[in-house]
Amino acid sequence: MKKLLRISVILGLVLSLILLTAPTLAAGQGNAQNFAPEQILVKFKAGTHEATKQEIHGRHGGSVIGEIAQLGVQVVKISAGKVQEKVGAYSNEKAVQFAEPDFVAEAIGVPNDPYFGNQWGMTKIQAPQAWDVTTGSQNIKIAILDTGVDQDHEDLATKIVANKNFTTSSTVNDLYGHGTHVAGIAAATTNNGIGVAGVGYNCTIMNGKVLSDTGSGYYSWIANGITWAADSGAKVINMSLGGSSASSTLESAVNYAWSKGVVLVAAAGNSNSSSSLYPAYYSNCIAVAATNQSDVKAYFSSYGTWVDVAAPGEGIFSTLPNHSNKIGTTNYGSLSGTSMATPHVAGLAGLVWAIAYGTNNTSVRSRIETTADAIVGTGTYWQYGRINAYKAVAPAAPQPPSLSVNVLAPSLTNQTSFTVQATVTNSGDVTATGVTATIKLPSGLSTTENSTKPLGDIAGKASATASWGATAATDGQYTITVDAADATNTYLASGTAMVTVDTTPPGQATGLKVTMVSSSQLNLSWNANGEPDLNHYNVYRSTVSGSGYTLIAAPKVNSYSDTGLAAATTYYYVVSAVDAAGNEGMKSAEASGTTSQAAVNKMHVQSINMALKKVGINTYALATVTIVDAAGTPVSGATVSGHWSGATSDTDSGVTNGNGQVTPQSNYVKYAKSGTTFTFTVDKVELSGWTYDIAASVTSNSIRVP
Amino acid sequence: MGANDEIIARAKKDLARRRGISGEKIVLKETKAVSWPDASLGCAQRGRVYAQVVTPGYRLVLSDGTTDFEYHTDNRRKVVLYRKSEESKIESG
Repeated sequence: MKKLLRISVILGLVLSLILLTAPTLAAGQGNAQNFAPEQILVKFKAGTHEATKQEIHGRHGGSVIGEIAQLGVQVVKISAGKVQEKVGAYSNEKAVQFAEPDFVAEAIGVPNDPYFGNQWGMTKIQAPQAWDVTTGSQNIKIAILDTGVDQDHEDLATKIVANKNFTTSSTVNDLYGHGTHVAGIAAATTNNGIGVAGVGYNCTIMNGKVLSDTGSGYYSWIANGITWAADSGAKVINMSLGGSSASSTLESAVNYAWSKGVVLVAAAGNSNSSSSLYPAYYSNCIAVAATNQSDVKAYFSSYGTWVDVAAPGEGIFSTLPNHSNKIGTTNYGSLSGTSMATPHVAGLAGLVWAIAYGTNNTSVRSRIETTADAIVGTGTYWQYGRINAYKAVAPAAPQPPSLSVNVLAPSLTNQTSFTVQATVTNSGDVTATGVTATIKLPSGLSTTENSTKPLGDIAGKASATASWGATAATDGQYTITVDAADATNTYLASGTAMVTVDTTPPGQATGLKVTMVSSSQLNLSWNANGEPDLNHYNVYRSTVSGSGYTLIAAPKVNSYSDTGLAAATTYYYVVSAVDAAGNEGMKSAEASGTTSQAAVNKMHVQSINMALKKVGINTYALATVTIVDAAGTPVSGATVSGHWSGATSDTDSGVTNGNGQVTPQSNYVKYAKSGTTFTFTVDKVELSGWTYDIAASVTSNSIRVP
Repeated sequence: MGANDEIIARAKKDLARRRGISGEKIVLKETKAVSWPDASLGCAQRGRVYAQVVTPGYRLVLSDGTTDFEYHTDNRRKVVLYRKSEESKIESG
């Protein structure tokens, strides 16, 4: 459907002539107020009766305050701030051909650049309509990797924000003429009363000179230009160039820029064949073919499944250097090539970056490709079609209500009463009005509440919830349905939940036996329960018979090892079976078990090794006592107490080390004579949890002074 | 359509220099207007990239009396001796 002019209306203003001649305008995304807040435009289908129109207006609270008779379009007053909602509501009426906001017309569609009339490509891609939505931004930089850009061209100079020369040329200026032409298409200064318009309008230009003054370049120059642009903040890279050889370096550079979020656009080539051209062939480049004024493939354009989009490329009017150049024309002129098609796409990428779709390079590319017009050749010469700038930047129409119901209820319960909750979600943009939710309970389930509950208006992307209490008469499996509908029964949805009610417990657990394993462990076993939906068993324990049971475990199997128990203690157990619904069967008969006595650890003195030590006139004795267990393993931490006799009569005690040893020392004896005897006798060896095995011990030893 | 005199003269001068003979011995045998697919004028070399602009020019056939030589030109000053071995597989125009 051809779009109508959308223009703000002051009541009484005569619009019809303007409407028939003015360009299509659209909502500027992000503009705070780009349409009338209290009125919309509605057109009914031909043949709709007046009574039907009135009935629809009445239902949506609209009143007709004007009409564009020639077009059959009514200006309808609505409640303030409800434009999106009402457009959606009217749009969903079968009798309505269309409804739309009454947009503010900002007459910037056609720029005042004097040569704009020569730029057929701009009209073909609906650039003026796109510029009513966005004119880009000077913060969005388009890198032109080419033969340079004329540095003081009247229609470009103020747009150039960076220059870099990667060639052997002595200048960043454009001595060939190609780069200046490309730059003008992408982003010439627009609506300045001079020269031509650029698709990218307010976007700016980075001049990366990667082609020599004869129009050719090495792959290394291109790769350097790509990485420079990506590192210097370019949002778009335009490459109206190509070579027939694949290059890992070039591909790496393309992937590097893409990974940094840049949109890369490259010419498909002019060989009128499907031969690949690089870098356009690489998947992270948008490959661009050329079309002519008849909107078909230009005679020279390369094509193929690897080509993504097409854009105007034959007889394209743009800027040329204001000095002598290889093209042979100065200031402005026409050229043909996929070189010229490519910057149409690059400029458009700049525009898309400026709107809500411009979140990342993937979304920008996708927006350009998926909104392209499927002209002749689409699917064969190129994949997506000839770009359409307006469609790429046009705001999405508000989506009508779309309801869904999510029913929440216990899937399995041992309660006869439970709660059913239904969440109704509107995934559309437009408010669903007067929404109700109705529960449908099967036989065997009932509720004391109203089956239908009002949820009121549910805004776009919002939800509302209703709940009911339900009661089951008997155990069983039930399917519960909740239907949702708006006030007009236009938007309907339904959801279900399945509930199983099981209030019957498993049978009594039987055959409980308790077996003593050690001083700290008892093992339990019982008969397996035959409950079909058995979930687990409960094991209870007490230290007195018949009462004081505590739940100690919930094993899935019919046995359990109870560990960590006190020695020589009697424990009493009962067990029960529990089903999946949580019903617990009758507890088993009690069974008991007693842990064994704790094992006794014994230690003894393995040896007492004597030694003498003389310091000056003083002599004393040392007794190294070694404590081991029954297996001969050293026991550390044992306190050894004993006394000296013979030459001295003192007492000593100490704690064994990691080797099970402690070394008491006697008092000094002055001028000890030969034959003087020192004797050490162990009196006690103590360690918690251990007993001193005196019978197995060496209890005393002596040493004589030689 | 014939090429302009300056273009032909530049091509003859180039061939005479290459052959080490007088320019007067170079004869123009054929001239044909051509739209070259890119800035290589149909003489693309592997490992190089070219501006993808359709470039109007000429294909000239010159002779030194014994051998024919093909020159590609734009319509201003650029003349390139066409060598089959330099021809890109893809950009053959």
